[in-house]
Amino acid sequence: MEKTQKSTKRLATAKELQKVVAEYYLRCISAKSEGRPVGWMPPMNGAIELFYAMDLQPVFPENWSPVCAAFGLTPQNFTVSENMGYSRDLCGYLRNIIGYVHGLMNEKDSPFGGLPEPDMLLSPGGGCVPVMKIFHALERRFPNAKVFYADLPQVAVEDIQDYHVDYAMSESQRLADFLTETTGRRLDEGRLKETVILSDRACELWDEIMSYRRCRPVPFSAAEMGIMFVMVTLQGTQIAVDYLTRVRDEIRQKAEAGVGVIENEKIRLFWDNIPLWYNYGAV
Amino acid sequence: MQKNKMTNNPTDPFKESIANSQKRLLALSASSQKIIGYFCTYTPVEILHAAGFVPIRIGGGMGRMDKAAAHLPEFICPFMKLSLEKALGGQFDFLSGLVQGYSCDAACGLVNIWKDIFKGRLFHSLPIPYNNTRESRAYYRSAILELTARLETIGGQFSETALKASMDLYSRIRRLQLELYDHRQKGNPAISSSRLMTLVDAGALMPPDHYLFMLRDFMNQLPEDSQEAKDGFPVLVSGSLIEDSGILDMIESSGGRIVADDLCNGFRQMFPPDGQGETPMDRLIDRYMNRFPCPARSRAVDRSRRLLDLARDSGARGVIFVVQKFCTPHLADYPAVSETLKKNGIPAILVEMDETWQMEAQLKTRLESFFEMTGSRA
Repeated sequence: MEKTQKSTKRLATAKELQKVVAEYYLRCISAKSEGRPVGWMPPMNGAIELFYAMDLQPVFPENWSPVCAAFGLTPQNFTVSENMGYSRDLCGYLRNIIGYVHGLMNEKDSPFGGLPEPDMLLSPGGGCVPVMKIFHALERRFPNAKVFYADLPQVAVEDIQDYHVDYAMSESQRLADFLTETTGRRLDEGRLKETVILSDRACELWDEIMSYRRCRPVPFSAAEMGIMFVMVTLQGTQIAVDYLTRVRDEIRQKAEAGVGVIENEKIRLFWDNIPLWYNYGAV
Repeated sequence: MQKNKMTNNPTDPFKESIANSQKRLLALSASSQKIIGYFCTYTPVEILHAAGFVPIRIGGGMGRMDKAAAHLPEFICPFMKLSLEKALGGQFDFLSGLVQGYSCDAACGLVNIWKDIFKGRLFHSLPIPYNNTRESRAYYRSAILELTARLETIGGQFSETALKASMDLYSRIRRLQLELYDHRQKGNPAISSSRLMTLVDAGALMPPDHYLFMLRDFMNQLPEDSQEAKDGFPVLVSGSLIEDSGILDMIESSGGRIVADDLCNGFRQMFPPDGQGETPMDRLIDRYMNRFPCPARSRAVDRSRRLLDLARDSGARGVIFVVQKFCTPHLADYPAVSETLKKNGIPAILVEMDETWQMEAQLKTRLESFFEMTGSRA
């Protein structure tokens, strides 16, 4: 197997991330015993705010793949899915999560206690094809989960028209109705408003953090991009806002002091696409 | 083993039209008839036609990526790689634009890449809902109306009256194609599967009224009693775009007899031939919401059910999946679909083709072994 290495965390708040991650997954695994129904969903689609507003537990199987990669579990998961007939040319996220739910999930040892079984699946039509196919496979794996067949407009940001927004709103309302019907919990508009305010604040902080990457020297590296974890799993919570505030403060301080990741920056690289979660040290 | 020997084959004009398509289409566009390209049959061609354009399906063909390598990674399907390669070589210079009904990520991405490279043309990605509800259909209607407005910016003129005429035309074409499929399914094929594919492919590369004329002429020449061979293990061929129909000949010369298909450039684009509704737009929306699904836009469980129905209706006792390399939708569905088929007593085999579409002895051996094993269990 290829030798991997952990990345060097230079931000104190990046080191703190492990605690944030562990606490999130502990909340996931204890959700049912605490009376919070569990829903598996793809990330970044507007459903997370509804979940937190209704005190439900969102779980992101796609996001679990980087965790598996970081813990060196992906080869094992790949073996399971490939033995089921999934081609090696398919997306690694897909092969990992399908392998996980048919393999390691059924065993005792999983990082952070593993993922709780879903009570609900938000199965997307849009997004990318691998994510869609992941959830189709999850529907088959968890036949007792209630499935919401989700749909959102597939349109470039600059091309959004009123009818796209109308459809997205009708789908969001349909989701809220589904969640109420499935869990018995009603959506409180006041709580939703608070959650969306927190979500927006997290986005503002994220944008501000990213803006510091223009500084010379750059105060943090792509190796610390794991901080986006809170944007995927905790958007809409005070936890995300508090954590990102600490990250922003630390980075701002470094930027103002001219403290960079390395001395004598000569070549600044742009990292395109998904990080090497399985070998972040290479970054 | 050569099964078919036809002289003065009535499908030859279709074969010739494909061979000459680029020259003809260049001449057509030079005569001020605008042509719009599309990758995928989720694109509502009737809308393009009703607005005054000739819809032409873009294909990749066979070959190797060269110029396109500057724009694309290796791990994209041959269809997308080679269609860009052809475009960069000037083979689609007759196009006024490209409209893509949103299906897979690769095609969606390629629309944007084409847009970056080929300036001054219309490029539009049509969002299509994944659900079939009242709200979804209203959304789809709005998306189509937006498309008509965009077509009008390059000289198109859309009306519901024109749409009715286009719907009627394409419906007649699909019904004739399905009639030929029916002959094959009933064990009385008029022509081999590869020639049937040539006939269908030709229709995507010429104005539809011209194609209907050729198709009707061909249907008038069909023999009452087919001279085609009827031996071989009956199979259904399922998969993505077939760029070289020689694969179908190889299947039929290896011990198989193709009785049905679920192919991107086969049955999948024909069925249903029409939709139902009060207005032409209702009819169009109904047709596309209920069309035979591609794995890029459907669940394996639904496709499995349809494949089982197709197999039962056609008498197919095996399925051969012919898939372009790196095709995520088909590859991701394969484990679940093949398992369902197997549980229902229908064996399946997967064949992946790269951009060369080379069919080597190894493939023939695999097919022959498949037919030997399945035939001996029958």
